[in-house]
Amino acid sequence: MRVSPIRRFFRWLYRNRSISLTPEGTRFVLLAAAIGLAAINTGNNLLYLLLAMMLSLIVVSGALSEQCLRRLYIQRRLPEHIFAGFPGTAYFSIANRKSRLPSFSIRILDVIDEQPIDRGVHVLHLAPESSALRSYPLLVARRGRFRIDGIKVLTRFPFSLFVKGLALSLPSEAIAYPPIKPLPDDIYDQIEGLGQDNPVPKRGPGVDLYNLRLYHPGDDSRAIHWRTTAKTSLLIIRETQAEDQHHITLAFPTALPAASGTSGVSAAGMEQSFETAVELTASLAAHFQEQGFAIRAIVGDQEVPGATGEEQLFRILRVLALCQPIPAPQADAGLGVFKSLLAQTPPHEMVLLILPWEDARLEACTAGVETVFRAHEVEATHAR
Amino acid sequence: MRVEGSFRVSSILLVAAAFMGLTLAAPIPLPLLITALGSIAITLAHAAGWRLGGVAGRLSQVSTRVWNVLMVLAFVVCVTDLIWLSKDLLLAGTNFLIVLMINKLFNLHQRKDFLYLYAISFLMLLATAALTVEAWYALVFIFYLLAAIWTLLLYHLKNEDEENRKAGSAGVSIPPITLSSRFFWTTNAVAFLALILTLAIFFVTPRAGAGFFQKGRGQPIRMSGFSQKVDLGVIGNVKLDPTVVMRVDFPDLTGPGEGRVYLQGAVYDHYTGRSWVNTLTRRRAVGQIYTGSFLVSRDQRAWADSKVVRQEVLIEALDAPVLFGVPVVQRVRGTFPMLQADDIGGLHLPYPPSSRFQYTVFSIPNELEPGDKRATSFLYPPRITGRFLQLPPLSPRVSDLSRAVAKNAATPYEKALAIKWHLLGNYRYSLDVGRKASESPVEDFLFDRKTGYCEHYATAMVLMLRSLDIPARLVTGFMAGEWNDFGHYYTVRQQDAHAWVEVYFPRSGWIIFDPTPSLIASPRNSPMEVVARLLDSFRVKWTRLVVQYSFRDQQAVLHQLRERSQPVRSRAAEWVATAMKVVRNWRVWVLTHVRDWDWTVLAGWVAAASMLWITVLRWARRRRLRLLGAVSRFTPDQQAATRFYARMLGLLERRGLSKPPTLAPLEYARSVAAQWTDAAGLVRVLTDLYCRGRFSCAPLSADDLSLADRLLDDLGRLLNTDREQAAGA
Repeated sequence: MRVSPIRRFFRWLYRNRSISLTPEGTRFVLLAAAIGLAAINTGNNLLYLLLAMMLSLIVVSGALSEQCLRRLYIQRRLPEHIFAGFPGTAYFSIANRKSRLPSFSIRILDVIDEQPIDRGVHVLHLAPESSALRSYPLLVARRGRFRIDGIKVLTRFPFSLFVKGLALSLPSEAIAYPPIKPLPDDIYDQIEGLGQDNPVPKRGPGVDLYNLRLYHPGDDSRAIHWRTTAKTSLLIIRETQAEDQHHITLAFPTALPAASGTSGVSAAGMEQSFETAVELTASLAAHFQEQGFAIRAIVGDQEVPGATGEEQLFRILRVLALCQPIPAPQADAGLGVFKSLLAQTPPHEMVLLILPWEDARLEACTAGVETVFRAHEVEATHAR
Repeated sequence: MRVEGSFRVSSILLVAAAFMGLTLAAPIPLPLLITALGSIAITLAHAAGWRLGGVAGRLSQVSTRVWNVLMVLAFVVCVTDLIWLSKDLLLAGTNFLIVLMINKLFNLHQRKDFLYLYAISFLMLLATAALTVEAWYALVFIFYLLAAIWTLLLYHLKNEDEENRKAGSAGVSIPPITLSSRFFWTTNAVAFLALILTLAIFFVTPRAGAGFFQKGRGQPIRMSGFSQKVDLGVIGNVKLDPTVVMRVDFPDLTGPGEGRVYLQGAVYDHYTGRSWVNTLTRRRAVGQIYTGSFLVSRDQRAWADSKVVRQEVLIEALDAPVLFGVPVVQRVRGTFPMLQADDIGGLHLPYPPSSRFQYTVFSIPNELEPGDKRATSFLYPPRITGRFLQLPPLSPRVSDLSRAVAKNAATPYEKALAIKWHLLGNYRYSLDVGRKASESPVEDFLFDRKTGYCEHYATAMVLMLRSLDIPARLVTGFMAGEWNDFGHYYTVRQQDAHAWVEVYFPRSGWIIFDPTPSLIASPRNSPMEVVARLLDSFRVKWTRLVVQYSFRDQQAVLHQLRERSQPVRSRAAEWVATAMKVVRNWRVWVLTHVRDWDWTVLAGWVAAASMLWITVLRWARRRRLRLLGAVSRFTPDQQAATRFYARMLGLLERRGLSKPPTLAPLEYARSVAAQWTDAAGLVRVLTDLYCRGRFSCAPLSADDLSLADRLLDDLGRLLNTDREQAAGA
């Protein structure tokens, strides 16, 4: 069907717009309809005048709410690190780019899978050419890739009769890490005191000088090396050497058993065990990172080479966030890669093996490994 | 001012506006009126923050049970009023509405209480619209609209503020909303815009109502002198009554006419000695040309003369179903379903109108033909002589007087003039004619008292003419007197009621003779009178443009628009035709010369034209987008960051440290640090702030911007110190 240019223009002008009635608006419209009927029935021009007043309020309401939504510049900032099940803080930066007119009563909703989700973000008044920052708690239920498609900006301004909406595409993507939980006592007892005394000169907390380098934004100002700064006229930062260094490998095979479900464990139970194993691996990584260990991780067929520090922890967490059980067709190959990576572990390096479920093939990997954690045992301990 | 206080004040003002209208439109019992006014005053003062010794507080603490009992009692009284007292649903309902309003005014606690109050106020305005059509409704309406805009806006802001506080908005401390002067004026501008829009919608909305007359609720004006039988002297009773009966506008005239303007109402042929009677009582329905347009006379000759006098009459509700107009009425246009005419020239509605209404009259006044003026005698048709030469039993003194007055007159016209001048010259106009009943009031007037008013003069002249065998009749109506220079119309009052004479001439028809002395009052120009005329003209405009606005008016406006736009449309069509002709000529020229052209040059021209066209299009697009604000490369934060960074660059330039375009900000900061050690830290921090505000997603906070300002001040001071040291050295 051919669409007239005027209709096309209005469609373009009001693209992505939505409008709905509030309860007050519904009553208002019904009342206007009743007045209209009465005016037609009686021919009383004063009733027509009242009807005109009500219609003009509707028109004014539409025009003002449209003005509210025009030329808003909105950005979203997700937290740098998101842990599944733990609230993080996300931000909306809202700028009113109109030169003269303010915006009132703006609500911003995230849109995920076409479903608007109210985060309680509300800006009551935004002056012309000004901006506001609003934070909101963001809770991601499951680890993995997390995507927000867009936003919906709503306003009930000026008379609370209509809710006018503006849908905008504002995609954001983040990775939700598995949650880091306190280690159970029995596990803690097993890993306490583990490690090899094999210090390696590394940057870290300590007293001895490790390196001097240029100041970067975000550096601790207490670490400025004033003498060198004065000499060179450049802001120089002093880095210290870590006092000692230990190495550990966290190995987490992800290949599914050959006949999953045959051992009497349901698919849901296996998934639960897998998640427990992922969380345990993440918690162990965090524990050893705190202890200053150089951590190497083998997750399924992927390897995170050994290193220290927070960056390394997040590298491991990222791999853990995205890891999935390797299904049967590729399970053997994946397990083969895992074994080969495990075999490459230096001889004096401590290895912790975390097994997601009971499987003879996985049990075969435990040969020569000092410490093995089994997810179903951890679950049982937690259950007790 | 805070939102909360303003919101309560505007809510109460809204209901006060509606109540004001209801008070003016309906007869409200005095105790209820005083209670309602007191409630509004107390709650308004309380909302405005005035201390009233806790009166409002105590009343608002009255328990819900007590209010419920009061409401039930009020409902019972309302039903009683409806069934036994006023027997009017609207009046009983309005009284109950007022009681509800009082209840709500003292119980405004939750959001729904305010919504109920608004609903009550709207119902009151609705009831006012049903009860009145007066012009003061315009003021009430405008005030209500203004209050409604304020109230709805503040209602919205208050609710949003409350919800915002409940939600906590993620720990952000929320300052209370205050109303600035800018908000005040913007809201008033919105109200003004809404008013303009309301009027536009009102005039554009198609009228489909079937009401011929607005239903009036007031008492009609009592009229005398227009019934079938009129006793001599009844007009004198209303000659001191200033009640406005009608307004008559002559759209084709720019000012008041020089002569007297007679508005004929009723015509009488038979005089009994004490009363005038219209014996031609048979009425016929006047045919319609089209709906609402009645053709009274079928005299095509008169229309050809094109001396039509158009009158637009806005008449109040009268108890007599008579239509008035300048004689002789040819055509009438109005919203009444039917019009009747009697055989003597009177126009009647089928029933008295219950409210003010408007109609248009087209008349062609009779003019005396020269032949009628000169003719010494006439042969009158029997239908005239049979009715208009009738005389009651009179003493011979009347005919003697007539003959004596007309002894020197040769023609009927001269005789009529002679009698007229005799009455004008020898009798005194007075409303004081005594109460004593007389057997023959005309003879008393002519021979004994020699004072009287229009009826006496006119009756005397009719009888004297008839005694000379000249057909004459008495006409009652109004003589338009008071000209309103604001509205350009005549205001006709009861006191303008008049009686005059019409004399029959065979060629000319009925010709007006008025033997009553002129009593033209000098124009009243005191400030009060001027204001009264101004208000009256506003009242008339309100009635014509709003109350009486109809589908026919809409058609007329459309017709006028079409007529007035005709020259524009013609000119546009001519312009298009000329343009098309030029294009056609070019096409022909190109087709005839294209064979001789050098194709390379032609291709070059086409390419150049295309390039030019594309450039223009791009420029126009960019400009349009810039005008629409779509192309604004920087956010306000980025602009702020750029501003302070540019200020820093300016200061450094004064120190001789210009920024080469090839250096990035951080590189430039390092370069400055190498050359001006003292400023290194300041420049570095300012550069960091600039990079964050300009290139990152995180906006600069107010603290950041104030820090940048302080650092720039420090840099300026450092620059001054450096210069002073350099000067000292």
